[in-house]
Amino acid sequence: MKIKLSIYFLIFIITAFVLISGTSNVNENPTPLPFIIPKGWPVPSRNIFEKNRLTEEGFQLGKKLFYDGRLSKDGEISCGSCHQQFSAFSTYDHDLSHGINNLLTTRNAPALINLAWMNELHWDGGINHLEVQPLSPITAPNEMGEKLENVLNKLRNDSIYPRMFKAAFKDTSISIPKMLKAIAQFTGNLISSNSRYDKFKRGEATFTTYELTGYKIFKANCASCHKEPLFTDNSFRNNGQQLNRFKDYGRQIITSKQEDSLKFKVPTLRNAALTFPYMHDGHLYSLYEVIDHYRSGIDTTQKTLDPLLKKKIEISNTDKMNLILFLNTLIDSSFINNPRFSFKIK
Amino acid sequence: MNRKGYMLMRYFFTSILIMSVYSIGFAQEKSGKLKMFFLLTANQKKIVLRDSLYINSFNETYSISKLKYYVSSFNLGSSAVKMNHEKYFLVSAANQENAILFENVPVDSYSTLSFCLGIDSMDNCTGAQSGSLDPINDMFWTWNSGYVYFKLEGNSSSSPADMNRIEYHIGGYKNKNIAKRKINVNIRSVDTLLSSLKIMPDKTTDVFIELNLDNLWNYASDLKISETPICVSPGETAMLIADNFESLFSIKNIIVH
Repeated sequence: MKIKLSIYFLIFIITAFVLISGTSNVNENPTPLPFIIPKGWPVPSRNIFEKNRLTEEGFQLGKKLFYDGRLSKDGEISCGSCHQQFSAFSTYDHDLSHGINNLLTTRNAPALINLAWMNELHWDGGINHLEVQPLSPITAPNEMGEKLENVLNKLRNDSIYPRMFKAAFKDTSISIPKMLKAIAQFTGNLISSNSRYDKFKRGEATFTTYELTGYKIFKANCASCHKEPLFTDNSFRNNGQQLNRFKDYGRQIITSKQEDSLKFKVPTLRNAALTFPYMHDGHLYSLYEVIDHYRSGIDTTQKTLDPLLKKKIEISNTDKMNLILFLNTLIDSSFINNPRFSFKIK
Repeated sequence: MNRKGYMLMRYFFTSILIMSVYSIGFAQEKSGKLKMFFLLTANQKKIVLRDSLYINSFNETYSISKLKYYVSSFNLGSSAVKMNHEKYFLVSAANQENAILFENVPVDSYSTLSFCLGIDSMDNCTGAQSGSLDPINDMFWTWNSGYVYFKLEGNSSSSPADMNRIEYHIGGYKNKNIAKRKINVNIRSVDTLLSSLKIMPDKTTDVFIELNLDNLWNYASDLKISETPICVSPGETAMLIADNFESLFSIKNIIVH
């Protein structure tokens, strides 16, 4: 009798526990996700997550949205179509990125690396906050070409999204601002800080003599714009390219200022070996061509040419090789292979 | 009466005393409601999207397919009146009615009314906004971040642009191109016999603010469709058009009920 009673009691306890834990799951708060600034890096000048609390659920929702083709008109083009992880979230081997209906854009898709340190996005800096960036590719007729109303309807009528939005924002309603915040939680977390260069700086790896020489060449000729440790100073500069066939004046389109003519964002050199072709329209295919551009290809007649490029850059053929060997140390294999960022299902 | 009963009585009367003092305090700050209606007219007619034709000051005929603008920061006299939940209200010709209800407006007779047409600089650059600022309202520039404060789209035979389009997307929050404008609306208007805007205790005052598009074309500067059919980015032209905004608004009527 006593045993029977205790068994009943045990069953009661277990049932109660299951019921309580079951209900508490429903109201569970999203798991906070810390934003870790790599050692020795500057604190971002603006905290883009100030009004967008980072959570694991928000990040996972952002990742799903990032890789979802349904954000485009024909269901084929996702953010991840032009921002591929294996090429550090740029478009591998394409000068210009593709949109719906085989349409081409007029610019090279930039790599998505360390965006939390960037206040202005796009080659022309037209985007003033990471959260609002996806509005541009989603609605551009030659990119994803979709109306925001349609995106919203697709998400609302999906079998999985409502649950994921609820998990991330504790609220069943799905809206464009929430979608944008979730995507920013994913893209803002694409941090590359574990290349061999980083390990060298942390004293965990060594450089060959070629790489050391290359690093010296880099510091003497490139580092003022491609500033360490982000390898960009996020400024807009004219590096002496010709006006291209699309009549792309870059920064001037945004500011309407003559002095910004042909200025483009200084891209990061992190993972540069993987993000070819180069420049805003992808017209330089390899790092060799890029270095050659700085050695002998600069159009010095341009009025807005960056003052730092007015003096001829002298790099010998041997040092060109050394410089490329140094740039290769910026490849971060843990970044391009990180399963947390990848499309593959865990 | 025992001690307990006495204490209870004391509590009872003290609370009545406190409550009455409070209610006198409240009574001194009496308030009423204010409901602002935003009317949209051109050529003395209520604006009808698409089908109707209108004529501007330069004899240019045009139709309207979209007309939307943001209002905020309302002031009656020197006191600010706040909307219930949101900072901005989007007036649109596509809405059946454009009305904002302000509750708890202090009772007084006000002689001035002002508001802002546009969005504060900070709200242009701090990420994805919700409510009336949700990008789904089609008032956010996707390629050059920032809000369109005033949007007028349509067609005109005078427009040299593709498909005779007219497009005025006025906005801008940076440096010399801040297109936000404070609008002072004259309450003592010549057309009406109104002298002041009265807020009465426990009553609602309906104020009808009209946007008359006829004044968009030539106030501070001329806007000719034949010369400027399109202005869709911040800059000098947008600033000139924004300078015409104040002339658009007037009070048509005030009703207390």
